[in-house]
Amino acid sequence: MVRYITAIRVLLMLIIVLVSSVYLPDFFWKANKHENKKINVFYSPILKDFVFIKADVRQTYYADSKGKYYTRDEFEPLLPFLNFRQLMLAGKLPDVIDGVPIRPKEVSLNNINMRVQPAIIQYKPLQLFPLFESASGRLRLELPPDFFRIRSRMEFITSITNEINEEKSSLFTAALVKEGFSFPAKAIYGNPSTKKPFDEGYFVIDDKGKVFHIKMVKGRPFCKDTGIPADLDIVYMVTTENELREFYALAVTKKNEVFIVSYDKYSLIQIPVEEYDYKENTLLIKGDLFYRVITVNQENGYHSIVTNRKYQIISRTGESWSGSEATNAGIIASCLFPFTVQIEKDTTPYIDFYVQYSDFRALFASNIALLFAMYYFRKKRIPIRQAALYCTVVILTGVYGLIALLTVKDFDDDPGKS
Amino acid sequence: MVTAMVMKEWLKVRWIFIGLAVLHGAALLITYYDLLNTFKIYKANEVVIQFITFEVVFYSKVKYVSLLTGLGIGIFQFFPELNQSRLKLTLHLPVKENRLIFQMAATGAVLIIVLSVFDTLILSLITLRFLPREFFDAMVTTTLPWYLGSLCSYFWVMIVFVEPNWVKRILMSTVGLGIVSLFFEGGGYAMYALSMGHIVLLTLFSSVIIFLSAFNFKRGIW
Repeated sequence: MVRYITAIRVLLMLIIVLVSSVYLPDFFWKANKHENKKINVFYSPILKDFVFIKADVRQTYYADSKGKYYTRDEFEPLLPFLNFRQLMLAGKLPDVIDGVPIRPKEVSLNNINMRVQPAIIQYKPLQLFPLFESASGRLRLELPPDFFRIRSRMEFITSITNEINEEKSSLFTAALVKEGFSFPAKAIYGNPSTKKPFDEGYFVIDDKGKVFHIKMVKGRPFCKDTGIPADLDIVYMVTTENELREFYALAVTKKNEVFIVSYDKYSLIQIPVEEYDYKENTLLIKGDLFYRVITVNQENGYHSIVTNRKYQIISRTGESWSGSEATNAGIIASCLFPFTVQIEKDTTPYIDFYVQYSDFRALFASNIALLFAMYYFRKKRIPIRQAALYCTVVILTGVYGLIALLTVKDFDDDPGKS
Repeated sequence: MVTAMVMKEWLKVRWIFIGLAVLHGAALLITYYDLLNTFKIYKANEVVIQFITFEVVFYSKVKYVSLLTGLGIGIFQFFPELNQSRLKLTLHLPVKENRLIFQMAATGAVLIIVLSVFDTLILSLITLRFLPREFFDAMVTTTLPWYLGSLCSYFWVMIVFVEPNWVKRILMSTVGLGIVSLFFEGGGYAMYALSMGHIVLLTLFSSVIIFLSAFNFKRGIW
């Protein structure tokens, strides 16, 4: 049976391993900072091809897919929709592209830009939302005096009194019940901001997975079952209030599919995405008068698809590059650290112990650590039977285990004998 | 024997405990008046939307006071033990050393828990007085890691002070610093929502390490 003091020593070693695996790799990468590539992908209606803006700390590069580099002044006319204001200023905005007359107001209206980051999908905000008056007749949206929650019913809490507005709560709860809503809400998606041109309220997933559209029109509830299938398994929705009024929201599903919820009776249109993992990758959708460019940004690469306005694929591009693990520092880190524990990650807002394992190269340092540990125990005249458990910790945790071993230091249970 | 031991520990820490209780009270009072004044100056709905959007931790003072509590009680409880070689005598009492160490640690831990419960109660009253229940839920999950961090810092102070070897003391201080830092990361609401179980385990594991320090201490004085 393991003596209690041996068990505590192992526990202490494991705590030291944890601390080392959090801070040592962190220090190591602070000293060997790897510069991330930043590439913005666009589709030029002039070249009918992808063009790129690549940036590093020194410079911004403008290039096309054939590898030709441009100056900024040469590049901007290739993206007349993105740069229409600058081109107007320079008198270079074309009157017609592909037979379509170019009107700045229309260009501006059709320019859209959406981004879905993994951290925002994982994030669960405070489940209190302002329900704006969608048809106030005022130019600007105004913040309501109350906030709603949807638990066993829809409740409005008036901020100034911090009390439930029973009348409004009953009114909206009844409207939801009438529409077949199952309480409580699983998720609520919307833009709780007055800085938008108009309000489309919220998309709410009920307890059975059905998606409801809720807003307030002239003080009355607007609650509608969208008919979006419950088995779609939506994990996130990005709602957007855009004057274009083409779609209400973008829905990301558990199967890494992406749909837009159109203004046409909430019908779903699937967006073509490739190699998308909502837990790890950022999804970017850029749209203009002619095209939609859908880009999946990965840690070491990207996949882009350009579609027409009906989301039919026109072309695709992509690139991958070696990440930090391929640099000299990365190779050293792989040999040195059998695993790394991060408490914060870019892909989630929450703190946890995120473990990332190295590959077989870590055995190199682990074996050296083990040899050192065995030599250490031999020198201390501690029998191998007694040291076996500690050696197991060292072989499994490599350099961290060795640090733990040297920190714990005293392993003889009965000093009278040594 | 237990009562005598608890009384001995209480006598050592009573003044720092009272001082810390006053500090906690002051931090909570400042939190209350800050919130009260915010609601006096700005419209209530504007305050709420700002709090929701930016996850304003209006009780952040409790974070620092909690850390100070763990360190303070730990230092005041164990510095005299070491400085005046009292621990040497204590561990020679006709009682098992682990039981004595447990009683000493439990006394300090209970005092920290008392202050943490006090903070939670008062913060609950403040939060529910001004804000909806969601903020109360967020407050509980946001502050829990701080209280656990307070306990953990106490245990590591104890581990460091009881440890007889100076080199190991420095090493243990470094490990303790690393562990305790893990409880005070992040700035928004409920940042530890996914890792609550892990940090509870880390606190429990830290509390057990004290027995190794005691073992080393007793062995060192043989």
